[in-house]
Amino acid sequence: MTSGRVAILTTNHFHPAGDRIIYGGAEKYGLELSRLLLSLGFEVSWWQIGDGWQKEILPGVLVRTLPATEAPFHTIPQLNQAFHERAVDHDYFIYFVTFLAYPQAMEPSISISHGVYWDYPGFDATLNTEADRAEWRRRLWIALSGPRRVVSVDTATINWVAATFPGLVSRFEYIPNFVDVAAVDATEPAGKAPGRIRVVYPRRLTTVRGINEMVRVAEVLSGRYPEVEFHFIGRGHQDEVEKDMMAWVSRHPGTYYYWLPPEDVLRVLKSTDIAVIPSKAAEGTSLACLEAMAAGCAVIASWVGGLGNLIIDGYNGLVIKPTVQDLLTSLERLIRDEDLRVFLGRNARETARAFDLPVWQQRWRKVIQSIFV
Amino acid sequence: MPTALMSCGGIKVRPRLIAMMTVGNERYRYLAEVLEHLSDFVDGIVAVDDGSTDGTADVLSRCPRMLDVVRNAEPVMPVNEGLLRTQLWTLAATVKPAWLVAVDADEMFEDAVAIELPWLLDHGDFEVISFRIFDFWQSRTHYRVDGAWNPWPRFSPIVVRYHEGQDYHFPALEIHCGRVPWEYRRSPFVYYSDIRIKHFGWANPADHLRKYSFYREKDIKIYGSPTPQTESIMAPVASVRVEPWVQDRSLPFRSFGREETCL
Amino acid sequence: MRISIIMPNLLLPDGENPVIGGLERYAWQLVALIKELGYEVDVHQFAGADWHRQIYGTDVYGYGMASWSETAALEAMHQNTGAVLYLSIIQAPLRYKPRSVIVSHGVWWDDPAASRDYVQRSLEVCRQALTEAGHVVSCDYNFLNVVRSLYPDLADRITVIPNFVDLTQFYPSAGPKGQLRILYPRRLERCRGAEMFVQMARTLVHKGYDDLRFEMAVDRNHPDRNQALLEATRDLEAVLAVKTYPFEAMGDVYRSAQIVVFPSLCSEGTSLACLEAMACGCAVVATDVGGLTNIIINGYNGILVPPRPHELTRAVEYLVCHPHDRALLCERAKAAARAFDVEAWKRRWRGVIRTVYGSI
Repeated sequence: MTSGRVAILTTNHFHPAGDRIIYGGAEKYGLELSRLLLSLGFEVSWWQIGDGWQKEILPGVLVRTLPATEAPFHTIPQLNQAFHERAVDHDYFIYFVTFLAYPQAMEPSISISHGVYWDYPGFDATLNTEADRAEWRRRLWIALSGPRRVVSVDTATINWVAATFPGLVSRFEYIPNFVDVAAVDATEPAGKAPGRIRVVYPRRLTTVRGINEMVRVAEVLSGRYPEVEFHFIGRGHQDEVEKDMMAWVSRHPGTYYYWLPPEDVLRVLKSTDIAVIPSKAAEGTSLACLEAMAAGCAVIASWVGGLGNLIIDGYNGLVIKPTVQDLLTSLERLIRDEDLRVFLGRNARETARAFDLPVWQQRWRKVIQSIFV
Repeated sequence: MPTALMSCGGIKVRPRLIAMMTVGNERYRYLAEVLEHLSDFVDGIVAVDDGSTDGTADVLSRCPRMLDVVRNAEPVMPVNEGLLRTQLWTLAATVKPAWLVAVDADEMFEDAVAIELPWLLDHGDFEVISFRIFDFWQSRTHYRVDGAWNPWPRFSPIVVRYHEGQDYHFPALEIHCGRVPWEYRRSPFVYYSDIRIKHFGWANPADHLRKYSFYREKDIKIYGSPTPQTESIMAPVASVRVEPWVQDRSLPFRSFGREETCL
Repeated sequence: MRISIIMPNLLLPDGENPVIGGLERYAWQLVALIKELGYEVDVHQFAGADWHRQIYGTDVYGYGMASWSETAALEAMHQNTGAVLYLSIIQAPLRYKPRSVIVSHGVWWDDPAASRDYVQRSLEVCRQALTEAGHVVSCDYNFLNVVRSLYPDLADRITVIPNFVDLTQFYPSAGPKGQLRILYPRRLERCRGAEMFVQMARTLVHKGYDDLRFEMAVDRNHPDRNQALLEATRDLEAVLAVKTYPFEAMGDVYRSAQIVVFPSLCSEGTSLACLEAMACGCAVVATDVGGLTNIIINGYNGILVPPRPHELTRAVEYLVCHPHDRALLCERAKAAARAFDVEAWKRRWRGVIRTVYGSI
């Protein structure tokens, strides 16, 4: 006896042509959401952009594709339309990213906001005129007002909506991202030589994630502190970036560049003293930050997006302006002050429990049971 | 005859990682080096000796990890690469491995592979692992990066998870059919590894003309004229761009503390 | 060198009494710090008539023309001053002095009932302030985030200095607290959610929670509002008290409450009162509005709820029925509050003042 059939629309989690996954943590989020829906007795199917293939991502959970070639004003009306035609026989609908609910939302539906992604100058450049910007905003408003509930991974987005679209806030629900605390606790730490201090940048090598600032700071500090290791773990947005990073690392002793599957990054984090999240924009409640916290790292995070929902400056991490100077000062401070590192790391581990997977599941369950019944 | 299951202290286990390669007159090139390199991290090797006449067979038979070799009296590669690849795949399938790595006889991974690949295989839920292949150009220190030779944007599927009982196919192509079955190319579960593969097929300038002639003939037969990629083999020195190979620094946590597997 | 603070009302418009409120507390703390750093300081504010007072050793000037034109008053203030610090973003048309600091206490236009027009005007006010000022100090990350997503180029001028709590005044009580008291320690303003608090109290009483006591520790800035509140809560007379306390007494008030509620609808920064309640070891329930989300991690050192009455009631009820969880939240609230110690706040402000105003 099934609770009903849920159709979930996303852009592209699974890309057979082999491109980089756009959102990183979104795949994990999607899998856990699917598992939760299954546990509540729903049938689940996913829909995304593609050319006709389909794949099973969990037993009984199929990913099907829909055609879409254009994304005007950062919306994909083609995909929205195709979804309506193909998934019309389902009972419940989830728009995995908010803008996918434009121009029409099926009934009843929930959409998910993974954070503000329009808060950097490059985004502005994609909308050349004031008229373009107004059109983008208009479409976003329509997308947000369609579903019955919008689940937001941070309060920064909810607050932005409150400050921009009066009256839309009432349909928002704050459910921060999760970390599987039990899994992190059970992870064996990777090896580390005694006396070393391990600093990790566990993000993609993109400007918006603060890679340039981090590299600059590592250049200065790796010379000053030979006992410190600087690890850069993540793909670049472009291939040249990865090559340059490899070359840079070869010129600076004590620095390492590589990437690993997510579970193995956890092992490194378990042996890490300081995790750095110096994002400059486009940040929700970063899964990487949560994992670093759960792993007991002293976290240095920028004051961007949902990071302010995770870190209280001086309590379970340090919060900084993402500039070279501030990063340098805070990193050096933590390198020199072991007591502070231990204090912050211990509190980070504790606060991470408030984001434990069962807590996330419970909050989502509440939303599903109130909207999808 | 290969044993489908390997014996480990009296208990039969599926071999975790088997290397498969086609070999045609590689004795005086890199074959011995490559086999030694593979022996560091694979459980066994299977090969199709495609009509070699230079004593390649001896080199293959002397490799302690070699499980099975099939010999073609006449080379199949010049006729149809798809057939050759299918032949190799069928051979590899008899060993029933958990994973297969499809390397050529003139390719080697960088050193990190010996520690990191077994770890990856044990812990990922992907179907395919893709790697960048760096074409060393007229040297063993520099690789080519101009035009389509640029390795940085390209990943090739090299390691695949084998499923017993599933049907696998190679495209019926005379050339460039790829080294893993078509089914893997559609899989969304690909892991892009940062471990690099060094390809030495172009490292010796003496090989260039022979290979260029081979590809040129094929292009004319299939397309009517040589492709730009084939022509670029003979590009003038001024338009060829190379980069020096940067040695990978070994990570400060080589061992993840796992048990030794039985071999 | 003299730094002049420009703000709406440190004292009431007649100049007789200090205004009770967070903004004013902030002002006094800043005045003290500026003096500590060796500068001279005075305050210029809107008033009903021109006056000059000396209060707590500080000169305060009231500008009567504010009653018919705030802009004119501000211009006069500009003429009478050298280096200036704007204690809040001024909601009247104004050209800010260059080489000045403007303090932002949070997004103020996020009222769900606000008109599009109001939002637009507010954004324009914001944009202008950011463009003209050398430096903006924001008390929460929320304001910074909103600015960055609207005017990415202007976000760089913002430094976040979360609000403070004086740990010598606000500390937990030594012993057990007795009867379960639920406290609302805010002003009687619509955006502070007094109505939602009353609704919550009424619901819990009707549900049969006889042992609960509710207290609203409010201001007297608008006596008519206090009167209206008393009338609206006459049915809860037995269990709900409406009181006004001098600021010095608030420590004891928090120490006598177990649960403190911040049911704001909008216009919230890193509320001083919330930090004070946390420092006193209270279990806090707050709406996920504005800067409150920067000081409470939901389920760790407090509970965050959407600003909806039944959600608020559920959260408070949960705390009532789960003393063990409540105690855990209290412990952590106390620990986390230490990160907002006034000394840390001063340290950060010191850096900004020296950078902007230079040497004495």
